This record gives sequence, C-alpha cells and structure tokens, in this order.
Amino acid sequence: MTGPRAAGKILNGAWMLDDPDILIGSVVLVLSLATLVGFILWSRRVINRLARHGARTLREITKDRDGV
Amino acid sequence: MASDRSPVSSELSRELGLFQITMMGLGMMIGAGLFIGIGKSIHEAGSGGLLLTFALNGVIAIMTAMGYAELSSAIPRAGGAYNFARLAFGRGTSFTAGWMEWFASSVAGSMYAVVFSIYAIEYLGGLGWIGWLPGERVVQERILAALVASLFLYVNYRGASETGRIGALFTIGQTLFVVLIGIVGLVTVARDPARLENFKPFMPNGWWKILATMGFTFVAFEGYEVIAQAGDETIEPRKNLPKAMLYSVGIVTVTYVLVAFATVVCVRAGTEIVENGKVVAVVDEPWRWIGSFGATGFAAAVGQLMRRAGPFLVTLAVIFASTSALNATIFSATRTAYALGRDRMLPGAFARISQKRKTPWVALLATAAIVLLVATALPVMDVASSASIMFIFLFLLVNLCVIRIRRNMGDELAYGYVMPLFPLPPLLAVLCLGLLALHLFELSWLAWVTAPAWIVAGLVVYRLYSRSHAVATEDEIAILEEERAPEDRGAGYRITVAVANPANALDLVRNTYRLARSKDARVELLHMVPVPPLAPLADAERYMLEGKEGVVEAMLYLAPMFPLSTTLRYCRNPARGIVSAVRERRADLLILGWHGAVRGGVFQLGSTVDPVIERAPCDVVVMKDCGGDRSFRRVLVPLAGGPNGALALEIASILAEGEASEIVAFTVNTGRARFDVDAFVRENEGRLAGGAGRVSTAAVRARDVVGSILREAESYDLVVLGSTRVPVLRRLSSPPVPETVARTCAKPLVMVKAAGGLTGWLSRWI
Repeated sequence: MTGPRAAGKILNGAWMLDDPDILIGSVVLVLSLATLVGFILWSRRVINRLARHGARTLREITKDRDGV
Repeated sequence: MASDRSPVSSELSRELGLFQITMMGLGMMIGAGLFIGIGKSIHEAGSGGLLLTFALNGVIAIMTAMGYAELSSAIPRAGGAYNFARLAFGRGTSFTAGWMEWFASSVAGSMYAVVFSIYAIEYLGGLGWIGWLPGERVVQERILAALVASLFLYVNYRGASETGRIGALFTIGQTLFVVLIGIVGLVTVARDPARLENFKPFMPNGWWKILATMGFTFVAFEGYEVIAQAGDETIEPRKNLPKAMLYSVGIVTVTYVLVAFATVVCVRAGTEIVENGKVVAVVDEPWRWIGSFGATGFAAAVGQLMRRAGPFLVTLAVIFASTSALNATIFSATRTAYALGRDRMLPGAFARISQKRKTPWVALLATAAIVLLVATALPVMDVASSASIMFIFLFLLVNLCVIRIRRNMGDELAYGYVMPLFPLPPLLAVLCLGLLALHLFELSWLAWVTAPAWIVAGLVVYRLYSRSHAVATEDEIAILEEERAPEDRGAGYRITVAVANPANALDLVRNTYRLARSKDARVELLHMVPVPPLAPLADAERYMLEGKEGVVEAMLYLAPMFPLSTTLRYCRNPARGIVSAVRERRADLLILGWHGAVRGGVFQLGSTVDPVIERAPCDVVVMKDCGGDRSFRRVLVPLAGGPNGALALEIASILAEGEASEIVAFTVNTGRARFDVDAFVRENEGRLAGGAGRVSTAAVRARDVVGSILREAESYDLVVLGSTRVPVLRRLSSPPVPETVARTCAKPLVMVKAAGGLTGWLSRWI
C-alpha cells in the first residue's frame, strides 16, 4: 500500500470526530504531545546555549539572557 | 557539630555518556508499569482513556523531569531526591525523601518480580508445561516472584557492573519491541480503518476515571530518578544529565501512546476467540474484552494481532523488561539505604560494605526484606499502586525542592540548565501529582494505607534516631553558639539584627534601639560566620572571633533594655544563612548594615544584601552610614506608592529625632503616571510614630527621577526609601531607581522592603 493511499484510509476515520468525546480527546492528545515536544526542544536549546557559555549562577544567566 | 567524615574523598570515574544514561532511564521506564498498566487502564477508562492516560502522564512527567534536570545540572552528584531535599529543606525532609525513595524503589522491584512471574506462569500455563505443579495459580506466581527477586538480590550482592551493560542491551531490545508493536498497530489500521471504531465509546466510564489510571501508571515514568543517581559517573553531567532525562521521557511517552493505540486496534469487534480449535467467545466490545484480562490484557491483545509469535514475543519482552528494571530498582533502593546509613540517618550498619564483594550487604538485606514481603503479601494491583503513590509523593517533594533551591541557592549554584516558564512547571506538577495521588484511592485504598504508614514510620525513626545522629553536610547552616532570652519577656514583635563586624555592630545599635523601643520588641543579634568554600567546616570557629567581638559590643548596649538573644552560626553563604535564621525565628523585622560599595556585576547592592532583600519573609531595613553620633532632624522619604513606600514613611517617623524633626514625603512627577503624595501620606497616617504632624509633602516635575532625588537629598540628614517592586529578572536589564539612588547618594540612607501579601507568605514556607 502506498503512503498516500494509507494516509487517505486513515483520514477516512475523520468521521469519528463527530463524537464530541473523541473530538475533545483528540485535541487533548495533540496538545499534550505538542507540549511535551515543545518543552523538550526549548529545554534542549537552553542546555546547548549554557553548555557553550559555561555553567553559571541564576543571576548571571538571567543577566546575559542565555536563551532562558 | 562539624562533619566527622574523613577529609580524604574518592571519586567515581566518569564513563557514562548521554546514550548510556538515556538507556538507563528507558530501562527503568519501559517495563512492568506499561505492561500491567495497559490492561488495568483500558478496563477502568476505556480505549480513549488509555491513550490520554499515557499522553497526559507524559506532560506531568516532563514537568517533573525538567525539575530533576535543573537540579541535577546544578548538583550533579549521586543521591537524587535525597540530595535535593537536603539542600532545599534540611535534614528532616531529606531523611523523609530518602526513606520514601528507598521504599518506592523496593516496592517497584516487588512489582517487577510479580509481573515477571504473572506473565511467565501465564505463558507456560498456555503451553501446558506447568499443569503438574501443586497449588493455585496465584501461589505459583508468588513463589516464582520471590525466587526471581531473590536471584536479583543475589546478583546485586555479587556486584552489578556487568549486568549494567547487559541491561543496556535488554533496554534496546525491549524498546524496539514495543515500538514494533506500535508500528504494527498503525499498519493494521491503515489496512483496516474500521478498527478505529474500537475507540467508541471513547470514555465509557467518564473523564474523571483518567485521573485514577494516570496515578496507577505513573510508576512507568520514573526513570529520571535513576538518571539523577548517575551524576558522579556521567561525562559532562551538567549537559548530559538534563538531556538524558528529557529525551527519555519524550521517547517513552510517544512509545506508550503508540503502544496504547496499537493495543486498542489489535482486536476487531466480532472476532471469534478460539481455544483448542473451539470458539470460546466473540469479542463484542474490544476495550471491555482486553480490560477483562487485567494485568495480562496487553498480552491478550497482542496475541490476537500476532497469533503465532505474539504471546512468545510479549512474554520475552516482559521478562527482559522486568528483569532489567528489577535489577536497577534493587540497585537504586540499596544505594539509597546505603546513603542514609553513610550519613547516619539510619544506623551505621547500613553503610557496611562486604569486604569480599564491595557491596553494602546490610542495606541489601534490609531492601530484600521489603521486596520479598511486598512481592508475596500484597495483590499485584496494590503493589503497583503503592509504588506509584510513593513515587508521586517523592516527585511532589522534588518539585518543591526546585522552587526552594532556586530561591535560596540561585546565587551559589552553577546551573547547566534552567527550566523555561519557571515557576509554572513545578507548580502545575505539584497540583497534578496531588490530584493523581488523591484519585489513586479509587483503585487501591491499600496503597493509601501502606504509603502514609511508611512515611509515619519514617518520621518516628527520624525523631528517635536520625535527628540526633545525622552528620553535617558541606552546605548546611549550623549553630556555633547560642544564648537565648527567656520567651516570656518582651512582646510578640521580633527584630533580628545581622551583625557582620564590630564597626557595623555599633553603627546598627543606636537605630536598633529606636526601632525596638517603638515596637516594644525582642531583639536577636545574629552573626553568620562565612566559611570559605575550600575550608573544612571543622575550622568554622577560627573564622568567628571577629564577629563574636561585634556581637558582644552590641549586647552590652542593648541587653539592659530589651530581651536579647544572640546566635553565631556558620555557613557557606551569609545571605542564605541570614534568610534561614529569619525564617526559623519568625522575625518580623530584619536590620542589616551596608557598606555602600558595589563592585559591579550582577548585584545592585551586593551579593549579600540583594538576596536578603529579595528572599527575607519579613520587613527588611538596610542602613548605610547611619551610625556614630548622627542625629536625623531632616528626613527625606522619596515615594512612588506601594507597601515599601508606606514602610519607608513609618521607619522615617521612628528614626527622625525629636518632635522638632521634619519628614518630607517627596515625589517626582515624570508626567507618565500621576502619584498623589498627599493622599498617600493621609492613607498611612495611622502608621506614623508621633502622628502626621511632622510630615510635609513636596513634588517636583522632572524626567530625571534619580537626579531630582539626589539634588533634593543634599539638604537632608537622612534618606529613607522603599526598595523596588520590579521583579528580580527585569531589574537586571534596567537598574531600578531606588537601588540607583542608594548606590550614588552620599547622605546616610535607609532602604526598606515590606513583607506581606502572597509572596511574603510563600517566602515564609517555601
């Protein structure tokens, strides 16, 4: 089965979003995963910036705005 | 008093990289919690609830993992929550954290042993290989669980270095297996989209049920605790520890959601269940059918998806996952018990090392007792719930530690990672974890008996033993000398005077006398002895002589007039020591002197005064050049409103000498926001010593606020002003007006900060 055909078949399941529980559940699921990935990427950026500049106290980090 | 540990310290070699420690975390997480959690969660919360259980748990786990990551990047030492709690809250809470961690890891070990035995007996029973065994199924399971646990207890006694490497291989295998299940599920749905109907009804038992299933499965998200334990052995720990914690939570959450999805679509509605060539059942509602298997629901579902190899692969994965996690939890529990013994929080025997094997055998024996007792005595769901609830309590505490350590030690620790949006993630995590713990009661009341009972037992042990036997750590604040006034003398108002040196003491005494008389207060003289970072704490007394002289001089002046206590303490950081003393003594007002010199850098008034003003949970008065025989007849109070301005007026009215003195409430109108100084004085009339008769007001129109105040101050004896209310972070980018005036004003100056409101209340407790 080709990728687009498979995706099309899965999207056929979109009729299920008529069910309010499934609609809300899907939104919660997507938001949860987006929050998770967002926090990880943001944190990764902070870690890498601090690793370049060296570990410092909170006040020093805040003053130099090291990606926080 | 000081540490009685050997001055010679040893260090573990740093050999673990990002990949290895991420694998350690994954190995702890992808295990029994997932496999038994799926069956139970789908039974309680339905198909949709199962998906959301893991997704939402991932969000709570990432918030807690961010806390662990921040603390581990700043304190990259083995010890985990036990270490963090010691720095944040001191010995008592630290003991409780270690005590909980020991139990949580031990009970998690019991759970892995029980799940191993349930799946192994189920599989072997299916093959008809154990029909000859006597006893009921549950008895067989418990005996096997005890045997497996004993085996790994013995492996830990032998030393677990090699099993660590094998564990990494197991982890890769089990992770690949569960990812494979997830992919097979997606492919199945792509071929047969009608299986998505399995998600109807999405929440058959209501949305609130998710909270209970989230609590039950939270044990499957506890791997970052093990990563934190590897702080001493990790290469570039400030960078790698936080990354490993965050990556491992990200990987397991996505994997769990994928596996949960696959489990739901494994079975098609209407499928005939065949056993020995006969149809024994027809699946009407897949979620109900999977849930009916309880702990083995996952295996039953996968068995329908991969009829031939499914049961074997699942059993193999569970055995791999359970054994590697069992080994790691026993190791972690033993290490925690050993640390408690090493710090004399538990009897020293817990730190006893086997001469032959170099392992802490007493700690291991004690851990074995818990693991075996729980594995054989409690029902499996209650074992899992007990482990979950204990980890929830532990993580709740760690989230509080993040807030407290940032607040108290942010100027001392070097951070390799600071979480974004602080303090929102730890506060939300505390709230959510509390909710999960409460709702877990629905699934296991026994967990709610076991966990609190263990904590209460810990408190008793601490009271009777640990409190008097614990050894001091490097960062603790300790009392060197103390002389306290009888509690019944003096009113309820308490003034603490931080004395830095003899000259400073005499400067503060005269004004302290006025303030104490006005408030009818008790006075406590406090001297912090800062011990340099590399000097042993045992030498603290060598550094205290100068401060002691100052305290004695101040005492001679004040003791005849007020109930007076004196305290000398040593610490690594004077600001933290002062705030800690003020909080402990429940002081209402703190007075400290300031030399007026600032070397630049990140502080407005200095590395001691700034943190004290920011964190002290009481009113603070900072005095510059106010000593000697100075009398304050003309006092200027620059105002812009707010509680600090009101306190500045009050303090000015106390310090102004005699009825003939004059207090001028002064404001600079920049044209942006109009401030009515007359109304402000009228509002605060009741607070002024001697009434408002001596107070006049003045206002000028100018753009340069600092310049206007400095010019006005030239004709006054004293300037009293409120500290800025601008948040600390914003202060660093643009210096606030009061602090700039304080730095540049040549006149005697008093800066005040008022406590109160939510921030003041939180400061007292957190």
